[in-house]
Amino acid sequence: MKYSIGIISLGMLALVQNPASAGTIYGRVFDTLRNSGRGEILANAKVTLRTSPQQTVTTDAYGQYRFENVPEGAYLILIQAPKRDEVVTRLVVRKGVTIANLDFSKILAPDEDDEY
Amino acid sequence: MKKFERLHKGIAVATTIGLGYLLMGLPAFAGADDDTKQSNIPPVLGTPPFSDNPTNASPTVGLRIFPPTYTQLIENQRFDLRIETQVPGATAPVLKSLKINGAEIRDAFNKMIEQQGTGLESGTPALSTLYGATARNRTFKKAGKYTVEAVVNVDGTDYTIRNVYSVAQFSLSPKVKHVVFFLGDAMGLPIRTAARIYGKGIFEGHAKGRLNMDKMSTYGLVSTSSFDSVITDSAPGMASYVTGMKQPNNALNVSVDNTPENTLDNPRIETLWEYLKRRQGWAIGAVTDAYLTDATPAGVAAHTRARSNRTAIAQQFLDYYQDGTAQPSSGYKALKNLTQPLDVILGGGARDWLPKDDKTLSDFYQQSSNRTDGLNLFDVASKQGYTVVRDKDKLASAPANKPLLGIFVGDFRPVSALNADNIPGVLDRLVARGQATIGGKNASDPALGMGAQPPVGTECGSTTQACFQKVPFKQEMVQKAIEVLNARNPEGWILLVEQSQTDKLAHPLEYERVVYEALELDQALGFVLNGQAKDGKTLTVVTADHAQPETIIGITIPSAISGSQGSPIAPGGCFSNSLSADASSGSLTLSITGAKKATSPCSLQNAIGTFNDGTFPTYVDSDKNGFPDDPDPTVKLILDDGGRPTYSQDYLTNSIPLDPSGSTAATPNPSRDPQGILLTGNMPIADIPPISKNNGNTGVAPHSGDDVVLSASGPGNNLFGGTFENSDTFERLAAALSGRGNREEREEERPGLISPKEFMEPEKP
Repeated sequence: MKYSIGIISLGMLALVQNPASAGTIYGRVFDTLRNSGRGEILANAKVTLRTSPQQTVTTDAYGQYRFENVPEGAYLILIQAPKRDEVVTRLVVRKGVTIANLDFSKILAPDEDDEY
Repeated sequence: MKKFERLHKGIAVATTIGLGYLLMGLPAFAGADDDTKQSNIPPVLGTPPFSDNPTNASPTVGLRIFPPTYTQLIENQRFDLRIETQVPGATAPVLKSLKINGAEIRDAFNKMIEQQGTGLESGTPALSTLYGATARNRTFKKAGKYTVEAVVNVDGTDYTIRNVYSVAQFSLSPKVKHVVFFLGDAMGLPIRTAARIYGKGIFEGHAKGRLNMDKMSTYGLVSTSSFDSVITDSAPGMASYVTGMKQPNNALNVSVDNTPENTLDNPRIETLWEYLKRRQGWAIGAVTDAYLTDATPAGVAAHTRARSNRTAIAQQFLDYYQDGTAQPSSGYKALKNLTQPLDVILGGGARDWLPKDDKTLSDFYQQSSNRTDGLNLFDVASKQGYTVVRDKDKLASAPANKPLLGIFVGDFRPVSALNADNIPGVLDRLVARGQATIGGKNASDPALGMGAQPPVGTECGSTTQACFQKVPFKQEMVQKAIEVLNARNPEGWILLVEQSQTDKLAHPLEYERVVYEALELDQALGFVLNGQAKDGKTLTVVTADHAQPETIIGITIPSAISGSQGSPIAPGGCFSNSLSADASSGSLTLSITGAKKATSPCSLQNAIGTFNDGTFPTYVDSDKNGFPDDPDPTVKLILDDGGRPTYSQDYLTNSIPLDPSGSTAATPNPSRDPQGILLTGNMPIADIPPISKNNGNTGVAPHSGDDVVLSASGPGNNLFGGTFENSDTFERLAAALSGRGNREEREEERPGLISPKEFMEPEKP
């Protein structure tokens, strides 16, 4: 068992370094609790993935964004939505498709105790 | 490779893993008996796709079914069955197959969607390249295990996903006719302990008495994580108890979906309150000291993805749907069929119920409206036959045989950390009634703000004290609620009693008041256990939705701190702090000056007795009303918090509850204990100019992720022993109501019997 794990971990190292092993990130950016709970889709938001170098896309009218060929790993992701302060969160990218919906109401901690 | 296969099947085990974890690198090599190998596998190697909250979903398109797999249902409980994809294709996806226990129902499902109509009624996504369809208000009529399998074709490829549901048997037994469900919000174990010490005292290590909540029959430990977070908020914290379904933070009796553009169309599930009213004709009620549309009371009555949808929630309490209002009727037929009007509705937050410029709202409640649709729900309720009351005298004299809506004034004092939405804390109500003092100060002391005129109008009274005096105590509310419920249906009713300020006063770290709140819950509990529950047919449950990270750390001697003449610790004998901001860069400088020498800069720290030095507190209740006469007795119990913004603490009870943080969560409120010990915080702050408490700073203490204690008495109480999820409590309540008293009597899981035709039959109106 120990031997197998050795092989796997070496293999994993190779995976992390090999850009051919990459994923797609797809998600939508929105804020569930806004507008007295009616919610808000965040269109035209700049989404920046802190890969090296970083890359930025803009969400469409449905709040959708997509990054292709992202090497597997964990990244910070920054969202600058119109008229909103910048928000930062984390996501982990894997092979295949990583679904990362970015709900500001989940990312941001409430400030008023009534929101807890 | 077996270990990896296990990870691939079913539900992903990992939750959000931070950057630090990945940097930690390779799995630990371990011996044969050690299973850390499995836990240490980095997420990059697994499938299905790691989504923001890992869900049971197919790879690539994230095909999933709601309710989530392993939801614990009961026979005939309504739920919405939703199939959806999360990643759009190039063309519109197609449902290829939908099977329940192997029986194909795809055509009947499609027919139902057609009959319901696309759009809100069926949860149709705005994006046509996503698949999304909800069959509303389905039920499993027979107990058993049900596997639902969906196959959806996206751009030529078939994707499959399976969910498994357990459906428990339910048939109402004559052994249980009433349920009182007490929810102490954030009432974790340390608060129960502190309440016993405050309320009963200790002598030579023994508690001198037991609280009512100490004397119940069975105790269990409940885990409170939500569908998508280790630490829940009060919405799924309550909703999971009453539905059997884990739900995401901020959601009330629904699951997430792929239509974030609408928060009312999400796939729903029936609550025990709705179920009992619909199936058994039971009377149902909710009593709280929070605003009524707040998450906990809304948890028994409402359905929305967003707990902040307060004005729609208020209408759902009354089952009142109207186009052009916050809760429209068009697109929500199934929702209207699901919600049930409550027989008893008592709490705070008039601004969700009264319209803009309403005189009562401003002059009596000191509030301005949340409603933009002009609806006056007091009028709507009256027309529906409710008695509508707003003070304790009108409450007491309300007729028993009519449904009852009561909304009381909140803590409208301008500096109070509570606000006018929430009923004033019990300590402050005791002071208003002349039954308590704070550090020796009574209601006439200007520091308490009781003599001040209410800030907007004087309809509730000429002084704050006069207004607070008219607010009922929890026991008074429960007494009336039970009277009305017994009149509405003596053969069956269920009542939620929330103590909200155990949470809302803990967020601003006002712990003395939090413990008083637990005592108020305990007093109302005693009223039930020694009264209603003597009929032998009343199940009483006391639990919490989650905890907060505060705990008992020691004691102190207030007279030594208060600065009275000759006291050993002079006031101000600690740090003074000052905050300055650079005008051009905006950078902050916080200066902390120790008043004394380097080896002893803060003499206030000598005032705390911790660990071996924890002399027993000396709370006095001379009028025997169940509450200490003063929260600062000779020896006082100290609670403090593991999660907090920066704040200043002098270990004396504040005259008015105050916010802990100042212009940012990294700096203390200069008006609160300015001569106190500076306790630096560990809550997130954001460097966003202009610095403001509302710009990404977390200025209050949060919730914690610990299990909470649940206690139960009455028929079926045995079922609540052990450790279980909050969502598993639902099945235990159902088992108790079905007359089962013994955990061993719970049924073995067999595949459920399903008639596909019956399952897809349109519901009767």
